[in-house]
Amino acid sequence: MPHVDEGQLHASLDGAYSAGDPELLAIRAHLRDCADCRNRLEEARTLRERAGEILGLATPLVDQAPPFDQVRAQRIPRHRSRFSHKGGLAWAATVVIALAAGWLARGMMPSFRYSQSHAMMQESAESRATAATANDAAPTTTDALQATPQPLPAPPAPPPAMATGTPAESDQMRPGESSLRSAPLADAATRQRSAIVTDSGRSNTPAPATGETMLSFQRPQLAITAETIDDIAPTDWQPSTMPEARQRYGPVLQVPELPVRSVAVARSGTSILVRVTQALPDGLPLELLHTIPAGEAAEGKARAGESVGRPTADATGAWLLTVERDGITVTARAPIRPDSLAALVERLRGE
Amino acid sequence: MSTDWGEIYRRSYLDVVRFLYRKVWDQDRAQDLAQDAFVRCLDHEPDNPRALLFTVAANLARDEARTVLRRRKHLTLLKGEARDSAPDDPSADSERSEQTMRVEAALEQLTERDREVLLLWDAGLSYQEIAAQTKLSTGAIGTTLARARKRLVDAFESLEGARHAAR
Repeated sequence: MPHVDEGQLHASLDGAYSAGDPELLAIRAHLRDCADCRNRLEEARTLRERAGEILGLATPLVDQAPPFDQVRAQRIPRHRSRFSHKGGLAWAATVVIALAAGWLARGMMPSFRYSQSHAMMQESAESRATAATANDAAPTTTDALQATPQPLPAPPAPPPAMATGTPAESDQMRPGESSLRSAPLADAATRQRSAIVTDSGRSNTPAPATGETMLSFQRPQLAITAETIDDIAPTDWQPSTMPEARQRYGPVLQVPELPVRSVAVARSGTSILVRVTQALPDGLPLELLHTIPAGEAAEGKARAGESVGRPTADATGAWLLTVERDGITVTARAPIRPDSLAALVERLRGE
Repeated sequence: MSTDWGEIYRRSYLDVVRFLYRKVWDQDRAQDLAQDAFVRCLDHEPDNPRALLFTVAANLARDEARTVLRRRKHLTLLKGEARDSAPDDPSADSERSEQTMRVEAALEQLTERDREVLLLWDAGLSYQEIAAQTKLSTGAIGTTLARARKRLVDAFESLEGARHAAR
């Protein structure tokens, strides 16, 4: 046999041959008789080990695989099974049944709506006569449906109107609805009924006084913190857009260079929360949570000036930085370092 | 018999991450791509699951490389942030980082095919699996590996020598 070539030497060191492979047997026979090839085999062994050491210097510090279920959960079926259309039909049927049930239930409401609306209108008018300002309002629909009884202040206020639903719903709100929506309520059951009344929006109710348009709440005001924000149920966030949010609530800020992923509005206490989510490079989210006092949102007042707080980390390791600008508090949150977050906050603009 | 991807995942995940890391040079990204590769394979029943897995992983790494330049421009801010972050032991971290960069530079001096074969071998693939993926004959794998190892060692030693000379 001629001398063993480099490829054969490395293949034999790598265990590429099966035990009875004739090529391996021939190589071994040759090595027994050829000192030169034995030396080359040792050189190949040294080279192989050295290459392995070098590659070992660039090894990721990962020693455990995430659970397989986590990967399987990301699986995207390549095609539907032949039965999948039945699932689609079942889904559609569910939607139809739900809509039908809602329609039937709606049909059962008129007398209730009328009496409740009427009672609340009267109560609202009485309250308006005895109080000068208002910081209370009816709860949101979601609040009402989930409400547990809680002590509420005595019906204080001339209930200015409030936006209970999505911004789109607010757009459709008739003047007459606002007094209904903000009527002071005594207990959870009443609050729930109020939400139903709110949804009606079609009764012939008198228009409220002008200027009583938005944003007053029954719930006591909450301190806005990252934890508070996270406590807001996803269903309480109503989708919006930057132009709409700015039109309604004033200078909603964003980092001009970054794309806006979503805008959502929620209510907490006497404040409006506007959450703008932007995409950082590499897909990281930058969350800008605006806390806008209801009074200023309604009246358009703004205090001049700006102050920036100190960065704090939340439980997920993301950093938060709060800036107060012209009366609006904006908390920026992103999974990046605080100095980068501060740099982003400096670039916040209202237009 | 259906492919037991769960078992393949348990046996191969770290190998795939190591393979991808030496292509994208980012540990988190390598893990993301590794999981993505598994996800893409789950609906397949290949004759050689590991070969398919590494083929998909290699393709993902190739796609990643195509987008790196575009992303790099936008990453300036975050890179600066990473640069600013002070590790607990700066000297150890720096040394590790330098070593990794030298390995990366040494691998860059190999031809694409030699590098691919070497990384696949180091990720644990057999000669047959490497041959299936690279379209080389099984007999050529040993020769390719011999050449790749020599070039890697020579390039790395050269970089090491230059580093010592600079000190």
